[in-house]
Amino acid sequence: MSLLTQMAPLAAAAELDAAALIQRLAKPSPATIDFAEVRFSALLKQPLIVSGTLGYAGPTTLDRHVTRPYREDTEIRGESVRVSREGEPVRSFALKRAPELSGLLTAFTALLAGDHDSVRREFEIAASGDETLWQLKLTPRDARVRKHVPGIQIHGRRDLPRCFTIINDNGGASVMLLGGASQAQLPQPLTREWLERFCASPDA
Amino acid sequence: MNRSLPSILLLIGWTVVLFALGWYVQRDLVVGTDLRLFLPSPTTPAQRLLLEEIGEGPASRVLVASIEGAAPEALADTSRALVTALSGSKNFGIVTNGEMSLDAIPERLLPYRYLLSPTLDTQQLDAHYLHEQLRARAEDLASPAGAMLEPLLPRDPTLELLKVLQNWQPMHEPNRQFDVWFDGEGKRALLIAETTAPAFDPDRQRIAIDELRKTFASLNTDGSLKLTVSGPGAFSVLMEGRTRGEAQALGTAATVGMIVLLLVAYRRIGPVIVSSLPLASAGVAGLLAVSLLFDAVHGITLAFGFTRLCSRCVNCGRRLPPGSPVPASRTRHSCFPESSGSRSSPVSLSPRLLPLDSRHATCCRA
Repeated sequence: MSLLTQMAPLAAAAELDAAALIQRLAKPSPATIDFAEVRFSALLKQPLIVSGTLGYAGPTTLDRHVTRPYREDTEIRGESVRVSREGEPVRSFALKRAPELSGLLTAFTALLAGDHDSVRREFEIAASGDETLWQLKLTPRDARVRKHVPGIQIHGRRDLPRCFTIINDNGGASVMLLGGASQAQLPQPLTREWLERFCASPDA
Repeated sequence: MNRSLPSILLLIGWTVVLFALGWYVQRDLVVGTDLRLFLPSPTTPAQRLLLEEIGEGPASRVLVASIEGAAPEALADTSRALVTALSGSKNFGIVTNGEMSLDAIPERLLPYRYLLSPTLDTQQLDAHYLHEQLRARAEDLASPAGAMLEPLLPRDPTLELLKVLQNWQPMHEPNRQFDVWFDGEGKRALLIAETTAPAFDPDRQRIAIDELRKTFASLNTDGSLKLTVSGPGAFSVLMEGRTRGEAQALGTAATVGMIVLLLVAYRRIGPVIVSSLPLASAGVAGLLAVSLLFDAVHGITLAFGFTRLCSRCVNCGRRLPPGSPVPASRTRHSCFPESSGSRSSPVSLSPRLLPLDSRHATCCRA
C-alpha cells in the first residue's frame, strides 16, 4: 500500500518525464551494442537464447549479428529485411510483414536517436520510476500493429536502456538484454518472472 | 353494347384464371442469364471442361481493379485496406494485391501443402530429417522472422508452405511499389478479386461489384481516389445493365406506340384492353409450360417470345373488333371492313399502312 502511494506522484509526472528521459538516451550514430535475446514461446519447453551485437546507423537501418550459439546476420534497410544464416539461403521479407520487428525497430532506433516525437507518433508512452531506475511502456497507436504487438516494455538505468521486452500476440515474449545486462549469468531454468525481476533490479 | 351475360362471365372467369396462373408462374419461374445455354451441349470431356472454365473457371471469375488519384504510398495503403476489408466477404474468394504473406493462402489449400511442394519427392520424412528441421525451426523462432512463423510451426514444422509460395512466385509480375502491384507507370495500384459467382451470373456479379465499390467508397472518404473494375464479371454486369436499359426503353416506346396506334384505329379504350387478353393468356401459358417442363427460362428467350406474341396477338385483337363477326369470305388483305358503317371500323389507312400477310389472316380466323 505504501509503495502504491509512493508511485502515484511519479505516474502523474510521467509524460514530462518521458520526453526528457528519451532525449537523454540519445547515442551518437553509428553505434554498436551487445545484446542477448531470450525468446519465450508456447512451442518451446525452454526459452531460446541467442547473443551478439546490434548495429545502429540511422532511423531505418539496423544490423543484428548473432554470434552465439550459431551465426546469423539480419540487415534491415528501410522496408527490406534480409536474414542470412550459415549454410542456408538468404531469406528476405518486407518489414511490414513482421509487425513485431517493425515495432522493435521504430522504438529502438527512435530511442537511440533520442527522438521523443517519433516515439510518440507511433506509441502511447507511459513512464514510471525515477531517473536512476526507470521503465517505459510503449503501446502501438495503430490498431493493426497493436494486434500483433500489444506492448513494448523498456527498463533502464540513468541514460542506458537495459531490457527491451516485446510481448507478442501468440502469448510469447522476447526479452532483449542490452549492454552490460547481456553479459549477465542467466539461471537454469530461466523464467519470465526472473527476467522481469532482473530488469527492474537496481543492482548488478 | 350488346354483350350477353355469359360472355361477360366468361371474360371475368378468364381474367381470374389468368391472374391465378400468372401469380403461380411468377412465383416459380426462374429467369436465367447464362449465355452458355445457347452453345451446343458438350459431348466430350474437353468440351465440358471448356464450358465449365468459360463460366466458372478462375479466369472468368477474376475481377481486376485499379485505384488511382493519390500518391503511390496512399494508393498502396488503400489497396491493402481494400484487400483486408474484402477478404472475409462471402462474395469473394481470393482477393490479393500481390502482397505475399503466409496468411494469404486460403485455408482450404493448406492441407495440400505436402502434395504441392517438391520436398518429399526426393526426401524421406524420417526421424533424422525431422530432427534437422525442428532444430532449424528453433533457430527460425529466435530470428527476427520468429513471430511471423510461430503460428504456422505447429502444423507445418518443415515449412512446406514457404517452399510452395516460393515455387509459385511468378517470374514476371506487375510492377511493385510499397509491396503491392502497380501499373507500369506506377500511378495506379492494381488488385485482383476472385468472385464466388460465375461470370455469367450478372445478378450475383453485380452484388459482388457493388460490395467492392461500397467498400472502396468507405475507404475513399475525401473522394479523391478513383476505382476502375474490369473483368468478365464486370462485362456481364455492364452488358446486362445496358441490354436491360435499352430493352426497357425500346419496349416502353413500342408499347406506347402500339397503344396509340390501337386508340387511333378503334377510337375506343375497350378493344385496346381486350386485345391484351390473348397476349397475356399466351404469355402465361407459355411460361407455365416452360416452368413445369424445364428448370429455367432464359431472359433472351423471354424477350424474343414476348415480341413475337405481341405482334401476333395485337394483330388478332386489332382485326377482331368486339361484337363484329368475322365473315369467312373475308380476304386476307382486308381484315378490316372497309366500309361497314360500324362506328368501330378503323380508319381506312390502317390496312394500307399495315399490309397483312396470310399467316396473320390465319391467326385472325383461328
